[in-house]
Amino acid sequence: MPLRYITLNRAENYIFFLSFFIATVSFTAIIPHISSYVNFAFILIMILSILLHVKKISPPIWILNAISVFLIIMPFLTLSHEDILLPSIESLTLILSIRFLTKKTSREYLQIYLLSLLLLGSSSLFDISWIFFLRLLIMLILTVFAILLLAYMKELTEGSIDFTILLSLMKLAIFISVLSIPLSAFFFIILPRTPFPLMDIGFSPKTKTGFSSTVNLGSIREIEEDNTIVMRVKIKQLPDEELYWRIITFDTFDGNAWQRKFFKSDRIKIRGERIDYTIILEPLTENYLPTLDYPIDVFTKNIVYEYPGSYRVIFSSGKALKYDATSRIKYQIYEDRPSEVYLSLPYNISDRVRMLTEQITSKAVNQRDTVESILNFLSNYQYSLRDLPVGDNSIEDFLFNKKKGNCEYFATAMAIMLRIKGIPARVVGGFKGGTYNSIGGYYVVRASDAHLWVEAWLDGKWLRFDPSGKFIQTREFFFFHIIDYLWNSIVLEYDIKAQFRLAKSIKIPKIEFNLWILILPFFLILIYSFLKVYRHVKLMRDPLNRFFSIMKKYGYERKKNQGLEEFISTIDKLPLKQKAEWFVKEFQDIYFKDRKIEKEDLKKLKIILERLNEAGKS
Amino acid sequence: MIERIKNQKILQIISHIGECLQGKDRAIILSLISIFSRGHILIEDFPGLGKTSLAISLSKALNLSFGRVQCTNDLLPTDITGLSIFNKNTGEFEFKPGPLLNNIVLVDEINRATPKTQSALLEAMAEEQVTVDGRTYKLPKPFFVIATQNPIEIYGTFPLPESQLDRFMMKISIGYPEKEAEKKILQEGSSRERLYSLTAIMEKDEILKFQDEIRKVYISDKIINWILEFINLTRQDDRILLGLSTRAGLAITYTAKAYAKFCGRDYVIPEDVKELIPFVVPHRIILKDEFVSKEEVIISILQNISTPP
Repeated sequence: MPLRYITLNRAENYIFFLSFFIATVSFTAIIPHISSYVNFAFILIMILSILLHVKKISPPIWILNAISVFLIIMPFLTLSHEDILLPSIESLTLILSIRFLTKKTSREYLQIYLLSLLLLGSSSLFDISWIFFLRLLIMLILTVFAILLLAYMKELTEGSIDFTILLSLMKLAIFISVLSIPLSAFFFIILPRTPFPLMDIGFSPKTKTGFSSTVNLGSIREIEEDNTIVMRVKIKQLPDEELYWRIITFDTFDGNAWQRKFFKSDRIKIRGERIDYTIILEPLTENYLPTLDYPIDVFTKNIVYEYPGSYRVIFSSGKALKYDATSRIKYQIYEDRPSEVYLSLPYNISDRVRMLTEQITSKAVNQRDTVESILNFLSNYQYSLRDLPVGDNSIEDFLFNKKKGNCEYFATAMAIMLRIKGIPARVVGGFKGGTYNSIGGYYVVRASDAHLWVEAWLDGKWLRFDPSGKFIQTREFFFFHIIDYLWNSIVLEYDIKAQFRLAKSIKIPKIEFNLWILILPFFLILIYSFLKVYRHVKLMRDPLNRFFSIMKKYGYERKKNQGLEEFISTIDKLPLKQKAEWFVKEFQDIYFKDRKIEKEDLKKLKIILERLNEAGKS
Repeated sequence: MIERIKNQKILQIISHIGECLQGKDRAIILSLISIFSRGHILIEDFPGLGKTSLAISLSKALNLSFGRVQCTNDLLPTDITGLSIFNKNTGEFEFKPGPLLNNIVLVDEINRATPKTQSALLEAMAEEQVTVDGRTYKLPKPFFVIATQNPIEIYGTFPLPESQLDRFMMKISIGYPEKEAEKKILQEGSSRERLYSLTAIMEKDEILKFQDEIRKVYISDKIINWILEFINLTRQDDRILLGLSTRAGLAITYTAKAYAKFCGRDYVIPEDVKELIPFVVPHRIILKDEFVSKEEVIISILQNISTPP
């Protein structure tokens, strides 16, 4: 085996790269959240540290310490005092990398491990998915292994390490780490928790999942570029054209932003296929709840219904929310006389737009034709998230110059054109599509699915029109979704209520079923322990074993290749030796003559052994 | 070795012979074990250390007839077996027994005899009979050969091959006497006269009876298995070219039985075997290279197997 022995030098290299790997694990967790300059600097310094390690050069420690101190102070010197957390994490990242430059003793390595752990911990402020758990586990195992190796090397007297020892240290590290998981899971279950975060560090999540009651043109784009999961919907699989998740309806457009001003609840009738489902919503910055278009009812506490088809919670807890809802798909919304507000146009709407509208719809004979011709016209426009229309009158920019944009521009343009033609229209904000997980039976809806579409009132019914050519995202690898889903529903949603639920469910006796399962291992354990005890008793009853154990007690251990007489000839204490000789003679007389041990023999041997024991004591 | 011997008769013989052969207890015991387990012994030693004295004293103490063959390269087989001579008076051939037809035969410097003579001798040892001119003569019982050879001065000798050495139950060396013992010898002068005047301790019938008793000593399967394991290991060992034969195994058990009897037991214990193995085994094996001693190899093998119980 070529790897039998490892020189100390090589072992030090192992530790270096182990530490390097540990730091990388936590660094990769923080990469997407910190600025690219810091990422670049970190990678650069790490590469430099490898070079220095190979060349065995270490820069003067005071320079490095000075840099570290500067990095610690730096976040407090930044202009914005509001967001001190991100600069702090960035400094932490850099301090970690600088630790790699110094001459490394076990103290420096421990600092590296601590910093890495801190960094990984801080990454959980941004994103706590199951990947975090995986990273933590890898880091735990590697760190424990590295610390064990460091401790072992410190105690080492020889110049090399046996490879098998390295392996057993690794096994021990894995054992310790894996053992700590059930323990922490146990603490996770029993430790008390509040419904509010313990520490409000004033750090709001970057994702803007909610729609507020005002949407500026171009603001949806930010959301659409964010791939964060907004919600999961437990529901049967639906046809793609029904996957519209309604959040809020906008009625007033001032030329730049859509607003919601009209709350009047009118008498409406909804027909369609009834469908029930459950939504698990990630923490929102706004209070509106997404539902499948078109919702009939939402079952959760403290909510308000707002016409048309919007539900709002009175206060948001800043935590994930789970609620049941009922909707109708393939619906028809009957309304007798929609409000005038759905026909209002912004004051700065130009004649160009009006003329364009007339031009498009010149061939239309009825309202439905009008809608079709507008949709047809807009289908020539390109859907894009880049190089969006700008300016005070961005809708004109969209229609006449850029001829491309995202759903906001499509929906807005269509709504305005419809209103110009005297058709009541409104814009609905929400999500479109979602990835279905057929194993878990749920949709995953991401921020990037955010969407705006149009509802128009035709022939006494509100109908949904989607002018933009936004595509529904393709299916993703479901295995990770399942883990993701389980992680979210088990770990992240676990709060004091779940704790109570768990505590209650434990009390429910299911003994009749469990008893039979428990009884088998119980019997096995019983039989096993019985056999163990029996063997032990038998072993102690066997005079020879008893003899050996007595002799061992007095410091005489028989080697395997020694015969009994040979063994006792090594005894130097005379009384003990005499008794031992006596025993051996009696024993051999039985053993080597292949005689069966009779009760009397046993008794005799027992007496001799007692004497032997006494002789040993004196 | 002497301290383990409990049999009174044997102790008596040892002390009796020991009077004339100071400090040679071990050689005496080993010779006695060979005699009583019906084997023969090869003494490899330098001249003048008391090989002849040992043979004579044994014959005297056991009240057995003694013959001596001094081997040279012109020694003929008939010189040791005896030959038929024509008797003028009776008109018949009369058998004149050679020195081999005695109870104890000392074959001095056996390696100087020609292979022809050697094989005649070894055949007699194995068959316990000699054939001269077509007639077979039984050798007397007990029959015991003490052969000697000189480890140096091998020029012009015919060393015995291992296959023939295998016929000797033991190969021992007497070794130089202790300083005190040697001093006493020098003080008292050669005791050859006293040797011839030694009185007998045992009679022939007694010896034969004792030999039979020894064969009846109990040897447990546990010990036989252990011996078998040992023999097997000598056959498999990388250092050994030729391992132990079944005859070697027999020799191990016979000598162990004799030793057990000497120690006053009627069953064999592992120590009986272990103590004799260095004398019974080494001359029967051939090593692949001669840089290590046979004894060391054998002992190292023995240490690697666990002894019963």
